[in-house]
Amino acid sequence: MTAAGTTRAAGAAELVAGLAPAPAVWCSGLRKRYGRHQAVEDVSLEVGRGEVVGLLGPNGAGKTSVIKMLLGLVHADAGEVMLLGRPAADAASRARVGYLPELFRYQPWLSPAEVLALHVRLSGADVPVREQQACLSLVGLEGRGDDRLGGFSKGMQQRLGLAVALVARPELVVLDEPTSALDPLGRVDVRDVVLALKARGVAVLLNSHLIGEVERVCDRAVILDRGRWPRRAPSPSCSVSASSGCT
Amino acid sequence: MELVREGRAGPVAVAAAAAQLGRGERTERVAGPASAHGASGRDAVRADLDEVFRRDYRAVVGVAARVLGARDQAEDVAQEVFLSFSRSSVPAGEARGWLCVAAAHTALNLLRSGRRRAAREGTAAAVVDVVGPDVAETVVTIEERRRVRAALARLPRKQAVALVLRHSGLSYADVARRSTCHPRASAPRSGAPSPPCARSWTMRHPTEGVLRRLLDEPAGVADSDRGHVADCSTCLAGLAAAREDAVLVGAALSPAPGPDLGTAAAWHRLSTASAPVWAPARRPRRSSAVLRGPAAAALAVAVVLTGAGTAAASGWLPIFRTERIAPLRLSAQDLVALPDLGAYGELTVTRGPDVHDVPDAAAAAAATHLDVPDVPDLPRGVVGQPTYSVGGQLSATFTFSAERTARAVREAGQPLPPLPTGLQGSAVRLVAGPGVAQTWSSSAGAPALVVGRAVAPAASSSGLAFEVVRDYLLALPGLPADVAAQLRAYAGDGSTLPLPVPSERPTTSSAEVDGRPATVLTTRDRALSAVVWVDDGVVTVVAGSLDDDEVLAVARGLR
Repeated sequence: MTAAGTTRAAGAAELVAGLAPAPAVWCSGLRKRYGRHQAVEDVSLEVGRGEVVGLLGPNGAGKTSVIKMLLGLVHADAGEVMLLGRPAADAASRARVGYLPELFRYQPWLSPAEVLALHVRLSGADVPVREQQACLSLVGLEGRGDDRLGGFSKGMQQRLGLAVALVARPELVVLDEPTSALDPLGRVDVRDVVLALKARGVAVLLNSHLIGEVERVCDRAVILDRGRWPRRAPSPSCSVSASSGCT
Repeated sequence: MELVREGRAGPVAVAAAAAQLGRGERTERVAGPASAHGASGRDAVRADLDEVFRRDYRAVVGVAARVLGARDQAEDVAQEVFLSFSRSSVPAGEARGWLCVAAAHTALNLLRSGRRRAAREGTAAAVVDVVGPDVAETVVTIEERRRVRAALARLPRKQAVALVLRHSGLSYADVARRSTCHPRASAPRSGAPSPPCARSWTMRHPTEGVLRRLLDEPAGVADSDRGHVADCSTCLAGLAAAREDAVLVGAALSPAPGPDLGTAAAWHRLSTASAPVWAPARRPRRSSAVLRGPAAAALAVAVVLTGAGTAAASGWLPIFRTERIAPLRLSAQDLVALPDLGAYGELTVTRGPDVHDVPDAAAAAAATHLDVPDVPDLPRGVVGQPTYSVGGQLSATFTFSAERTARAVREAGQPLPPLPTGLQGSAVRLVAGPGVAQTWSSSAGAPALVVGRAVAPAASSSGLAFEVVRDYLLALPGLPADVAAQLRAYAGDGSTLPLPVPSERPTTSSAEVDGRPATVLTTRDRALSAVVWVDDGVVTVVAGSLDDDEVLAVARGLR
């Protein structure tokens, strides 16, 4: 290689070395159609490392479809997805992702501790029992780890779902309507959990149709309207513009 | 903004006619009654035009300006595009993408027509003082812009549109969607392993698309690809080259500087312009009977009248004298890599063609001293009387410079071939034209058939033999090897004029016209065809939105 070529290559190496880390979530041109209904059309978004982003929109806007496509639970008709610097097609990309689904149901004969142990085992992470118990405490289930889930309320099960999302030390947490079954105190707890994740540098994608919930914890809000291109707005100062953006 | 929105459909705003665009004129007429323009519901102006115009006007002008390099022309294109949009049923939500693509196509049409090329270059020269304080740097910048736009004009349309849209700020996904191709065609999915190579994908070099994405959309590049590139000298070299290309193209495609866009004034112009004197661009259809686009006219006029065919390959071809014509296959990579003749000497155009219209065949014959061909039988779908355009003789001189050549070769990192004795300062003079073109329009008003004739290019050397100059230039580094090989393969006496043909676009074949060998060019969708041949030092072209049999029938029937 000539001297000029060496210099050019060195410049290119500097460029690569100076790149920002790959975002926690990056997707481009996502589309999904269910029969005649275009659920998601041309959605692109990015969630940086350690960033908390709210996905806002009215019922039926396509928020959950977007999340399921990001996580590979629904096959996208078109588009690209990268999670934590890996193509979503790579199963390893989801190893460091925690997910609280909108609709959750756990086997009633299991205890919360058993559910967590199961998910820790599935994730392949090495999480000691004490840390698993701490996770239950974090979501307000301290002392209930050995109770049967058949006796849990829906709100308590949602708290357990949040613990499942957090137990394997994720770098990205996706929360789909995490407060839908919670009482006001539970919503405050979720807010505190999200803020704690943010403080630890964990990226959070928070799906909600509750603008107030999003504005309190999110750095940014992405607004979906009938599956169309999201509109981005900074949060929390975006609360007014975000609401108008939905209309 | 008082475009008609209610029942009185018909009088709609219109931009200047294509011909007036070509002359830099703008004509605005008072809107006439609906009946005068064959009003129909289809012509009604959409109610959301005002909103879309004010929202997207700047973006549309920006796209066109990247292609044309001149703000005033870009504004003309924007007027044209919004006029078409006003009659369309494109959903408002998709308007921006539609407008950007339409602007890119319309601007490319204008660029390729060559009608305003001289004016554009003049404009580029006029902005010297605003580009930068360093005159030498400014000249280099302008030259780079000229070369990139010249390459843009020759690129396959899909690639050219994609390039312009990408540099207009659209994402790869946008570009792919607007161009109706998969994003991977623009920039391959980074690191996504396909089943056959899933086991070894981390060992493979990322594609060129991934390297490009590292430059302008790094968030979409996987960590594994980043890691590979960082540790791979081959990929780093590729990335460096891609970055240099991006800087060059980005600078060349940046909009020409100019005053702030007057959106309100532009809206006033659109809303108060007159009824159409020129049919807006329509979506092309595959039927050759109805596809009478202006591209055929641009092709023929460029080849015959302006001598663009001889100057196309960055000035290499004028050193040939023409007795025959043979296609020279050029890929897009060849066009980009083709060196400028200016790197090896001074190319001076001593006389321009001065293309202008004349009223009839007699006037054309008097102006050019050529036998103006008569077309007794027009193809189906071509009607009416032709318009006549003539151009004078084009003269250019290339003076070889050993100093420039040595510098260019040194910058390329290659050894300089031994300089033939006497080559320094020797000159080659090119003369082409005069020429005449007859243009028939289709019922839609667009050119459908062009018959052109011109005195074929010839060259004379002031010092060395033609073969010496040619062989030395072909031996210099920089010229793509396949192009040089094709040029060397032509007749040793330099009597064959290579006709640059993008290898991705038209197909070429051989035929005979009046006992003379002819070259037939047909686009792969068979929408446009042309036949060109040389007889006794005169080159004749028949081109149009016809199939090859039709253009050959016209060619063989000329009187």
